[in-house]
Amino acid sequence: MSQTLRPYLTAVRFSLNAALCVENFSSQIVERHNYPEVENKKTKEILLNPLVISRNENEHVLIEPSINSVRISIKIKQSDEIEHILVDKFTRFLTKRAENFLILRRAPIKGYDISFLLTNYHNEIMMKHKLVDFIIEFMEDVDKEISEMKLFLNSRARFVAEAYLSVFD
Amino acid sequence: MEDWRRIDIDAYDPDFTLRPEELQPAVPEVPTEVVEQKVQQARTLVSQGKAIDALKFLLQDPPYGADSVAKDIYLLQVIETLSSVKQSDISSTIGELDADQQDVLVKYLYKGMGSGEGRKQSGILLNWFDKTIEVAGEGSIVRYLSDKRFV
Repeated sequence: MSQTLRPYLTAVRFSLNAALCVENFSSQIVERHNYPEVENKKTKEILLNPLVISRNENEHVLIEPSINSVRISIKIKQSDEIEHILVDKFTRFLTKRAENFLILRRAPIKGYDISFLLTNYHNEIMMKHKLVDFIIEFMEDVDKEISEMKLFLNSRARFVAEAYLSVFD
Repeated sequence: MEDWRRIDIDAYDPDFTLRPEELQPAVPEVPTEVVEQKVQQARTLVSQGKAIDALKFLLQDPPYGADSVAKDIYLLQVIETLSSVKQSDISSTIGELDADQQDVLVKYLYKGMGSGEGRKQSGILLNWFDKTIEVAGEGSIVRYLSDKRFV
């Protein structure tokens, strides 16, 4: 693990742990409805201050807590065009399957690559520390995955180029 | 006129909504000159090698009521002070702060990581953050989340 990754992940872990104090809360505006308040943002008094944890200029996490839901948005490292495309494809692959992936939000919020929405319901059916662990593990793995894909892509491109151009040798 | 069905009528009901000023506790207004004066004072302390005293001084009475430009100047000075403390002294420095100062420090660390200037120094801020949470515990994060007085 690199030098800055560890403090980054522990900071996210602590912040997430503190933010994930959610309870059931029915809407104050529409009777018998129950919204994730961080999404509809109509009741101002139950929204908490959002927080940003950044590792460097192009890698950060935004956590927006409220009384019954927490939204976590992650900006994944993208140092060049290829990584940009890979991240886009990768997150699209995941968000298409958001149905089966309870906590994933279908669309990331603006400026971020992927968003999770944790509500009191998720907190009841799943264990809190496992949820936090999952987010941390996801952040750890996604970097690894992207750089692996990049290497694979490059080596394949080289192989293909050699195979095609060997005709003109 | 736009679609009248989409008008949020609850927004016009005075009993129903809270105004922004009702959510925020009243903070005394701080003029920019006072902030600049404090920043100057802290800078002198740092240049004398008393970074810890400068930090205590800055965290003692943060300018909640100043405008955003003055707050940014203040934030930059806090970050500068934090980065002038030696790596090995961070834990002991945090131990010297009292609970309120630690909470204010957490506020500045979050604000620093959220702003463009602070992102360049993220390594230092993250380091400070981890050490602060070790000392102050998660309570200080919760107090950051719920405090409507912004630094």
